Amino acid sequence: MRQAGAYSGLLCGGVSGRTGPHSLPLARIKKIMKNSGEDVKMISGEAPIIFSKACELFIEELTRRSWIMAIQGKRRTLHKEDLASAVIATDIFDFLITLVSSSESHAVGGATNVMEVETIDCS
Amino acid sequence: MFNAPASPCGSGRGNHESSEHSPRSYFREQDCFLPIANISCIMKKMLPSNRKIAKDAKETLQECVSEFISFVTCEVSDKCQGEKRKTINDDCNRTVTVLKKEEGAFIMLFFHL
Repeated sequence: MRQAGAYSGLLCGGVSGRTGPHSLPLARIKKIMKNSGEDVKMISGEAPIIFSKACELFIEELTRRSWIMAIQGKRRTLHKEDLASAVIATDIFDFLITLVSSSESHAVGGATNVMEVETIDCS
Repeated sequence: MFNAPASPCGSGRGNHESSEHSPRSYFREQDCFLPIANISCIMKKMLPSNRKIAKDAKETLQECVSEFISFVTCEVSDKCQGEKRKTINDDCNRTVTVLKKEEGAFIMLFFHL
């Protein structure tokens, strides 16, 4: 008879005590993993399960830190700027800085860029 | 009545597809990201009940999660290549131990993967 795998508890309430809506789709995770690089060819069955839990923890951590930023700004709604502030303030999220800063520059607009160019020309 | 033949992939979206490309070669943008409903659900769990999350925050976090998966996958892939392994699997005992720790679980997991 087939035994339950070592990681079957992760998505069946073994670690987090939750099932269903909080578990992320494993097929989609696997697809993102394969799209991340050409050298990624073979992925074991347990890897997406681990990533599912890792993503859940990642979302929780980033949301918690963003919420602190929203509280500091005396706001009740979590915005993109709060995420950006949380990413910039946290060392372990350094890999997200380019993603967040590019979205911030779109929001700010082109006026600041013009000012920067002018100051460079003057100097 | 005339019955049109079913498309190979069964989606019925064969009108705009050229014959030289197979239906599976199409890369949909939503495949890059995890479902926003799932992400929103996890986010709401972390906030007080009367608080709201802007749509742009959800979309940004959706991108961040995909970036996180790609980043860690690349790191693990490099590690696998260094160890002359072809399959991305996991350091089973260590990872499960990390997941069972409650305090600082994410940070521990991040550096152990």
